[in-house]
Amino acid sequence: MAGSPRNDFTWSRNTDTESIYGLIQYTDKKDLSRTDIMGLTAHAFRIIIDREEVEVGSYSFFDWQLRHAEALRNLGFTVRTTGRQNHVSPTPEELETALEMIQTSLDAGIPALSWDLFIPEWGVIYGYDDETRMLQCRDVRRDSEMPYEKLGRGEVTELYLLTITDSKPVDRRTMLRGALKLALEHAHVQQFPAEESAGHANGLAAFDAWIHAFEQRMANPFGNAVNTGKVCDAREFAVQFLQELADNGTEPGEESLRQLARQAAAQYAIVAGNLSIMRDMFPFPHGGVPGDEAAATRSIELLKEAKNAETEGIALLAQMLELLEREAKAPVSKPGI
Amino acid sequence: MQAEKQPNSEQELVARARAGDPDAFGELVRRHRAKAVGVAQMLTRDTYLAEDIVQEALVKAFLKLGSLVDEKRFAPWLSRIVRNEAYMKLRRGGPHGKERPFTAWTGFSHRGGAAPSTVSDATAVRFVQRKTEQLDIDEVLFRLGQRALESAQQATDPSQALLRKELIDGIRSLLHCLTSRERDVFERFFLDRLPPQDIAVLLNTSVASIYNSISRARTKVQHERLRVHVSMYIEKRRELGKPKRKLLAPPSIRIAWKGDE
Repeated sequence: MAGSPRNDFTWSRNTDTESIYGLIQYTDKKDLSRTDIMGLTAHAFRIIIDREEVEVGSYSFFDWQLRHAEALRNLGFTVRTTGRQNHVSPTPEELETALEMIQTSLDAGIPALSWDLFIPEWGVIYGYDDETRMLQCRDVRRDSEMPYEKLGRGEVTELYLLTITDSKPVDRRTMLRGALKLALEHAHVQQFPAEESAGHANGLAAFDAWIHAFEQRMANPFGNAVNTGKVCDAREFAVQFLQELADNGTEPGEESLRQLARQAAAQYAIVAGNLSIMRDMFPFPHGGVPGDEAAATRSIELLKEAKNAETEGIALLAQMLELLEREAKAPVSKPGI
Repeated sequence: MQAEKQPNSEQELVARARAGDPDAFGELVRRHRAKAVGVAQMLTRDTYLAEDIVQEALVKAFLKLGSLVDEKRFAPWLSRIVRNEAYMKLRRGGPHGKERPFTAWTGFSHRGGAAPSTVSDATAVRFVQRKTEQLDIDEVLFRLGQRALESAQQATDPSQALLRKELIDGIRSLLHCLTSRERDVFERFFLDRLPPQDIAVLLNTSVASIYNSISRARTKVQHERLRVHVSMYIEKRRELGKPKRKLLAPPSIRIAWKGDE
């Protein structure tokens, strides 16, 4: 395997997953680890890339309200969301809705997920004070107070908010089955209409988009560094998630599932390894010189190889899903349920 | 955790909106506005114009709800109206086109025939009020200017006159955050609808300085409007006896940003 394997899974560069993990710590599902959350939301299998220049916001080019709700639903949560991803700052009425959501959630003991608090990344709001009119917020840049009126008026001037409103018990098998479905859909189906994609692609097609940007020598140094970091981080979690699945299963009759997970982990290790080489070639934040002839040629090789491995990996995930679906249809064959 | 009220089905909302329920239409607007603005922005690449287009499209949608054949197809139907509206605006010369007619808007109260029979005038007026409250400050002020010109006609309709008075009073109360000079420019620009060139002549200064004043004043008024709104919201919470503050344990996010280095 190329690159050095990662063994610290106490943080993630994918700030929405990191924030979601943060929120879940205040709920009845706080026993789920970061690796669990990355895998069971299918965020570990996520990749979105813009073919024109690997623009910096590629990783956030998806319908947040829809996809975040879908990921959290898979863990048994009901959520409430508001805001719009269109660089339009909220009206006073929209701000009021957001404040009301934040306060309702905090009063119930769970922080709120938001966006662009101190940097255009996802972060968490975990306190409010009506007298000072300040929200207590944390994102990867800072932990600080922010005036109520500033919400949705950060660097990119748009509001996004998600709160957890309910939690129902879901067994791990069901979560895993749901996550595999989400991962497969993300891999194969473009998740926005072609006319609104603005050159972005998700799943396997995203590798082609990335390769295209390098072929045209158009990869933006900063955007490429940011997105390499995010996707690499996700795949490192994918390896860890699958590896834990392969190692920790104890029930008899599960050997075939563990076997498939082990094989899938090996494929994702190739993806993560190749991306970690690129991460070293294009270090964040300045991002090196992706337009350089040798660097571009090497990156194209690495990405092609990564795509092949990812294709294999996805096929293995499909087999795992098939196995779980069969098991779900015939629950009697499984002891203890 | 609080149990959430189940949202109404789209179909049900459309049916209720058709029957003249402004709240149902408001809910439809809330659900689809962002998408509609997205579509308009994609076509016009202009935030201001996109908002304008969506505003008009929503008014048209409200008036034309009766022509929607399949109640389940509200979203694509609205999207088409937005597109048509955008194309119409673009043909007229985009943001710098000569006129931005608000005929549909003014038509509510004066031309009863323009509204479908299922929608009473009273409902339409309430709808206009609700929508107006959500408008961008520029839009509100421009429209107020336009309405002021029509005041003679409106004097015959007391409810309309009252509505307008409340609106103007509301806007004027926001203007106290401006310096007297900014307020002067602001009122001439938004309420009298004078072009910056004319204001510059009137106030014996450069056009650039008028543009600066307008821009500064606009930002201040917008911020003031937010501040007042938040104050009212907090006041409401206080009356309801809601908690004043809450601070949970800090979340586990690692502060690791290196981009500033």
